[in-house]
Amino acid sequence: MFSYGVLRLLGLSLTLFAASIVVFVVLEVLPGDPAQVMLGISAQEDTLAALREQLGLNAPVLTRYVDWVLGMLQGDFGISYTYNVPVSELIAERAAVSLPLAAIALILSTAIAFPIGIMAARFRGKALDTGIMGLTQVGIALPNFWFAILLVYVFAITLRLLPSGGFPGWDQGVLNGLEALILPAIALALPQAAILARVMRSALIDVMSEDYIRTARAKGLSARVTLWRHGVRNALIPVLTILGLQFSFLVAGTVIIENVFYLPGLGRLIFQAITQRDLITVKSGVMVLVALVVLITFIVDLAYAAVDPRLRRGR
Amino acid sequence: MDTFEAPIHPFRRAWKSRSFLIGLCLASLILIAGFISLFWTPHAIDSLNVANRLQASSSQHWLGTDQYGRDILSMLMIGARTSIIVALIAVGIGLLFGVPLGLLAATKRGLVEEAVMRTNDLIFAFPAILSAILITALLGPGAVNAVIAIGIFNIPVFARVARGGALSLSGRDFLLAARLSGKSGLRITLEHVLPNIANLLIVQATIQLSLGILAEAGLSYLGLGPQPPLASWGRMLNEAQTMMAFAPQLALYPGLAIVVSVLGFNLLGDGLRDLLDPRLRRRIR
Amino acid sequence: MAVFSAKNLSVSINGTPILKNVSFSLAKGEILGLVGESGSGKSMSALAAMQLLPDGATQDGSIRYKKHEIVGASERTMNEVRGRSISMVFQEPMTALNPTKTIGDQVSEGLLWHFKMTRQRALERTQKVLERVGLPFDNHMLDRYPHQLSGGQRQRVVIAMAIACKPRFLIADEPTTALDVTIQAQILALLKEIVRKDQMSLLLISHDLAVVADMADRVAIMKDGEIVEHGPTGQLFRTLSHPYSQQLVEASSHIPKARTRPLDPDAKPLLAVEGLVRTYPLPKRSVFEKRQYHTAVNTVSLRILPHESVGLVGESGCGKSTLARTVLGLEEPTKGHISFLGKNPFEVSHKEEKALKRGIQAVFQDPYGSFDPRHTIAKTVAEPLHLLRHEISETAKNGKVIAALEAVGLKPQDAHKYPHEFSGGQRQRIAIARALVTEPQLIVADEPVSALDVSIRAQILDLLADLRDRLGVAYLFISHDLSVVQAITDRVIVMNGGRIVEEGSTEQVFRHPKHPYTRMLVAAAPDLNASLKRRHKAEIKARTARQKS
Repeated sequence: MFSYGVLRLLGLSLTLFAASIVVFVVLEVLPGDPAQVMLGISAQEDTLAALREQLGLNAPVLTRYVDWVLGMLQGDFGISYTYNVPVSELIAERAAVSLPLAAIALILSTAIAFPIGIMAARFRGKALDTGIMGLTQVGIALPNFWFAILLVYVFAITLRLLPSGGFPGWDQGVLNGLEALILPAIALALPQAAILARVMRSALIDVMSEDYIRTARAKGLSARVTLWRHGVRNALIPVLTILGLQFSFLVAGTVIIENVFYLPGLGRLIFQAITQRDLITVKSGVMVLVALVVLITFIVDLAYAAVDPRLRRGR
Repeated sequence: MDTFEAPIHPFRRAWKSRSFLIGLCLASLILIAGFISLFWTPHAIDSLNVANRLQASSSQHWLGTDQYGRDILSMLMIGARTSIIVALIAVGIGLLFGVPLGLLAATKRGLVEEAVMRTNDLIFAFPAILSAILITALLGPGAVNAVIAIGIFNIPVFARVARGGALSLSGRDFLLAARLSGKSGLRITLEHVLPNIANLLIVQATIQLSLGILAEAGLSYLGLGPQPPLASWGRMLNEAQTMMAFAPQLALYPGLAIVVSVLGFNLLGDGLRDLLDPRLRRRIR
Repeated sequence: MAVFSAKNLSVSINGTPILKNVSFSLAKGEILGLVGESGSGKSMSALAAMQLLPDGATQDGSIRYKKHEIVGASERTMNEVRGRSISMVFQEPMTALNPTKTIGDQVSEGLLWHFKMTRQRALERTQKVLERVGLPFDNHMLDRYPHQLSGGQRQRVVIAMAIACKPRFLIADEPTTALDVTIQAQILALLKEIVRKDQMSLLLISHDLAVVADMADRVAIMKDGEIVEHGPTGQLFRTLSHPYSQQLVEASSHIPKARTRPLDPDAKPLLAVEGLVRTYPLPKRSVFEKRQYHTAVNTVSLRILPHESVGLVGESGCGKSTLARTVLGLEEPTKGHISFLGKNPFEVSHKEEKALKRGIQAVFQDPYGSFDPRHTIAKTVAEPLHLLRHEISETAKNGKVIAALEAVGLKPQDAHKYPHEFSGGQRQRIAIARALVTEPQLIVADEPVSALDVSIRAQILDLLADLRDRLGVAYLFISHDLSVVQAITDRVIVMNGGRIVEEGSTEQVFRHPKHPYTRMLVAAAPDLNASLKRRHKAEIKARTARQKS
């Protein structure tokens, strides 16, 4: 278990290292002159020079890269060009919105998907199964931002139950904050839940045709107990894979959903930074999101080993 | 091996598969609409006619007009073309790069496999949206941007499917027999492996097609996708959002169009999977 | 009174009859052997007895456990009966165990389900049961996972699970088919000992007549869902009346006609292997560990003469398949030297390599996996002719394919069909045709009949013997099944742990095995005639003992 973790950790740092190179090359090397990109074509030569000086663009590429990475490792993400505050502060502030949003969405989608998927598998081929599968088919096809717009129309504009967007800040009370996150979380969670439920169902159906399920039944265990004790746990192995991949979609989803609801989150920060050509914020913001995705993949890998003893090498 | 099923020809089964049929209908609807838009739309959409704005459905404008007076149906048709072209090219990119990479990983094993799989992990760490944001920083927003961003994300998906399919074949004796016949690895891959994983790839392609349509809509909603005057469903939704309180129908049609096309291609993929599933085929043996 | 009985039991699946009016019964402590080929319905009988029939099954007739009717019993009743009164041992010990649960959890599960006891108490009993099935006593066994055990140990765990609640009736469905012969003998002995000591009734299902003849008090022979003949073991085999059972017995000890083409012991060997070593790197357990190597084949030397048929026997993991792959040129030797037709296949020019590859072809075990499902038979059989590309015309190619098909008893029309249109035995014929198409001097046959039913197996052995004489082709015949090797080879090589432990003429090795391992192998191999003889002696002994008293 330990050495499995170490190996995985090594892979994780390698991926992050490679990702940092990609981000750096795309944003700092390929554009030629980042200062020109940030200021636009009409910029004066002396303002350009000043910005280059401020960003340290006159240093060799390698030095700039090393400085950037070392800075991030120490929590220094540079100074945002548009907001003129440390990017680390911006990220911390925005993460306080995005992370709870992603977490609520993930919990919500799992909480919806697991029981539904298990039920569908249990009543495979029956009307209930057909109904659930039809619904999930539509759920998958639902673009989350359109679903979000519909939710806003129904619950905010028509029924006036919930805010249509914006975020009051956690200092205005946890409940007010949560209230602002409910609709975005649902919009994110439901399409994800549809996918997850389908994966759960098919994984469980596969597992239930295994020989050891028959063995369990031969011991006298009832169909229901067998499903829970031997089926669900083993079905979790493929489900976890998808759950890990889904986090990547979830991150993508937050970027859009935060825009629909005008939430001051990480995704919106990066999105606005790109329209304002604030490359410094984009660079570090993207890196943070990538790190988040990679970290979740790592956690999923560990969960894998916890579920499947065959992955724990040695003893 | 006991077999209890009578052999049925795949085409006959196709007509019995409900999801295949529904999927085929929905997907054809979108494909045909997009295709017609190449030659003809009910109205031109590149000129704004504010006097004509926000009309309800009529014989003139079947689905009404938007806040700039453009015909909604025409916009939807062109939007269908946009999203299908973007998604198709993105699938093409995924197939073109992903399949050879996956096959390479499966046949070479060792370091090559490790390198391919780690590259996969790396790309998976960049959701299409992040790639699109990076590419926008480089090239500015546009259809090409969307195509590249979605296409890059498709590469590891196809690499994974191709590798998995090839690995599941790797123990088969017919590959050994081919090697004993003096055939090279490349020839065996082309003659035996690729045809045998083609089903998997076709099914995955339809799924990626629908994911591509979703992703294109998301990108163009954010303004990172195809730019005006080209119509796209995502941007129609973005523009409709400001009018939600007065003209909610503007947000309804493009959303429905997305749902119909994604649902169509997903069902088509599911149906194809059922029809082409080697396990089902084996049972028919 | 019978502990268990089935009367006029019929089972259909989606309207297709699988069992037709099957009746049998078991007295206390009795072993009933149920034999038949694949598709005879023997496994379905077991599933019916457990009432674990697949979806879409309908049943008719009566099954009784003691006085209780089982057909139509409620799920709740059956949940009490299964595992507690009737238990089952399955064929595949790897897949029959849940890979994510510990041995202790899986064995104690039935105890906790059927009896009111604490987990602690259940684990104590589990420990006792594990010792009962001969698993070594150590404190960690309960915490191990199935993948950490060997195949034989896993099957012991499966048996422990079945007997944990002390059922009165045990069903064993091909309990040793997936195991090596020496392990098979141990597991069968264990089953017999448990059943005898605890006065359990055992329904033993097997395709292997020898196993059943050795174990069972009474035997029932099944074909196409019906019991065609049954009776006390000794008597049944002495007076077989049904043509199918006679044919089955004949096929199971079938010996093809002896060779007509004499061997020339002084000829230059076709294949010579000298000091062959093949090692594989093992996966590292941790990043810091030095890489370990597994030696699959360890300094092996052997020779095959023209036209000679050489058997290679050994249990799984002994290195016989690795040796075959190396001889075929699919893997390079780590050390040592191979010479085929006087040349080293790993050091020849491209042109010579093609000629060498034409001279050595292979037939594999799995009749399903050895063909590309998308290629026609013509394309499949023609594949090795790739070695003759640019040398022969398309017409000549077709001629060779047709000739090869006819040589194995298939029709030229079959060339346009696909593999799935053929049965297992016919597929093995196609595989042989593919191996013959380049007119090779040597065919490496890796377990070519292991996946086939006995009657089909006899036909394929006849075909191989016929080709040996007609075409003068030599065989390297690899098998775990001693009776098959005995039937078809001139000389035999016994491998164990990557090394050759014994080598000699087939007759000599089987009659008078020298090496202890060979002796153990020969003794463990089930043999119908030997076990019938043993049984006969025991019967006479019992009779005289009775007369004396």
